[in-house]
Amino acid sequence: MFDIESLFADADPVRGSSLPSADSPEATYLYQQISSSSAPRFSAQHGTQVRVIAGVGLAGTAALVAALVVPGAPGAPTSAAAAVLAHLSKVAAGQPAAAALPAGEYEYTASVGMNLISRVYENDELPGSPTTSGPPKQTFSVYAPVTRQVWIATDGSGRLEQSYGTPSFLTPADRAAWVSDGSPDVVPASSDVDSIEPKGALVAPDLSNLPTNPGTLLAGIEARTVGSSFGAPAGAAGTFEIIGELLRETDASPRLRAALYQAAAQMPGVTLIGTVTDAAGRSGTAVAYASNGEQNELIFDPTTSVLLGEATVVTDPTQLCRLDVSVGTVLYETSYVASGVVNSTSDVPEGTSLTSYHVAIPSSPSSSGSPSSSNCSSTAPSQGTSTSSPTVSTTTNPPPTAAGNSPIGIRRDRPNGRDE
Amino acid sequence: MAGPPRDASRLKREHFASLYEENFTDIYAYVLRRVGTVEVSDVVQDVFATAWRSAARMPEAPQDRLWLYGIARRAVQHSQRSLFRRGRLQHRLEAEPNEATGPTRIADQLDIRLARAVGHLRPKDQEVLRLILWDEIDRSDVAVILGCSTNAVDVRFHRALKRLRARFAITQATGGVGCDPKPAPEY
Repeated sequence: MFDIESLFADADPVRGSSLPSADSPEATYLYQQISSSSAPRFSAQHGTQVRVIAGVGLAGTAALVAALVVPGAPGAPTSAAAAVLAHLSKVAAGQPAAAALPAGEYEYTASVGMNLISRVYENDELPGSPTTSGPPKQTFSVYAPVTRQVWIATDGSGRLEQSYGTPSFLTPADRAAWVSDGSPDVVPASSDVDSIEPKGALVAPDLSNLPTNPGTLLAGIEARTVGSSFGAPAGAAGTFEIIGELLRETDASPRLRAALYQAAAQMPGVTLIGTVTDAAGRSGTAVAYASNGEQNELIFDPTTSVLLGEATVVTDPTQLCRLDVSVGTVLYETSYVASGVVNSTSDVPEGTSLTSYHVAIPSSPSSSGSPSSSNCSSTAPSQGTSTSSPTVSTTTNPPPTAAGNSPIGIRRDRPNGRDE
Repeated sequence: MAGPPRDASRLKREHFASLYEENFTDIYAYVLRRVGTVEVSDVVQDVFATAWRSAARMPEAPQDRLWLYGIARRAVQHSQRSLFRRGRLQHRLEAEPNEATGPTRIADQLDIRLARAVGHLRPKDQEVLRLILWDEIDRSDVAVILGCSTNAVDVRFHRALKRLRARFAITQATGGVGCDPKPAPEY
């Protein structure tokens, strides 16, 4: 007989680790950063308001700077992306305003997508490392399909339901590496979620009182007074990320969307990817921002201007330390397939059917990229260029497309695609 | 430089400083248990930066510590949401075994089987186990963090242990490694 309680307690992953104390260099540095970077909001902010728009003075200054960066100036945004975004903005501006989400009701969004999940190892566990003991460990990657539904009320309460489907291996080599590692579970058990969340638990941007002047809005996002309260990356990559955050799983009004598209049009470095197929197989127009070896794409319906989906694609594997994948590999893609306002967390908008969507496994990139140039995995096996069927059975059902042999990744022919 | 009354501001700063001092290690451990070694620093930074920004809502001791855990819980959830949204955090499945404590092969197998059995529990039941047995938080405080009654925590705790015991026995008996890399969720 065994004592399950102590068995679980003994499995505590931090047991026996040395943890940093409050006077460790790490803790001291973090404290200095936090307490000096931004003033805490000591004025009373009780109530349901989750986010506060602050720093008007700062935003004003930034707006002035933003206003100086006009199309045509050095460092100006790519004209093709700006033109597409301007068009989307015009479409949105012409749409009728919707009422704000009433208290007690929920904004519902359903999405389907695909996530690349990889098993990676610390540097000293990689093959060739002098400290490696036992057989060398290899990385492996699988695509895991995800279905997600979220209900969010204005007070941040609601429900989050998310479930992973059967994963598929990226290549046969990935499967072999998985088997040699003892066939571990690849999707973390904590990833499947269905929970009713109390007030404030679902982190969603507060869209009330956002400026609808594109320059002011962009300045606010750049100053991080608008958008996520959780750490978006610094710089333009984070700004583009927050623009996405304000659009995804929110009830952004046509007017706000119009302003956000124009704000994106003003960002240098935003590029036009062109017409793409999203995870659910729908055609849309994509714009993107690339940084840190990844390209984040926002895909819009050119007719309605709404956000259809998103994708993240590898542009430079050498920057993805320890992740052994080729240029053009899709790291993540999702499609927003249904949305609307509902009365309760057990309701979905009429006509919502998640079973009608099939997310195809993204095709492996046709070019092998430069996986071996990754300084973190120089002796790891190459991924190969195989597009053969995944070895693990999958529930996905790739629809044939005009692109022929590639079920979904037609745009992946030019993952670095930039309009010049 | 207009702002709130200086006294209130100074008191809040001191309060935050002592909250930080007293809880940094525990919060770090809490986050490390849930997000792994790669993300831990970023998420811990999120926790304290969020607490700093919303210091106006910081309750008096001893509730302030639970308030901090509430923020930590949301920061961990957010990092898990990001995993879905951006695919940024998925580069890692789980925290690698700690080098210093390097588990033996047998312990490793035991951990894998236990992890598999735990994976079949409801997410909230798993969290109750972690909060009580790993973070060593009192049940009444767990109730505050999870926003439910102490009774509900007790129910979840005992149900989780019971199912774990049953599951683990089964896993131990068959001991096999399945072909399906993903356990079926139990609902």
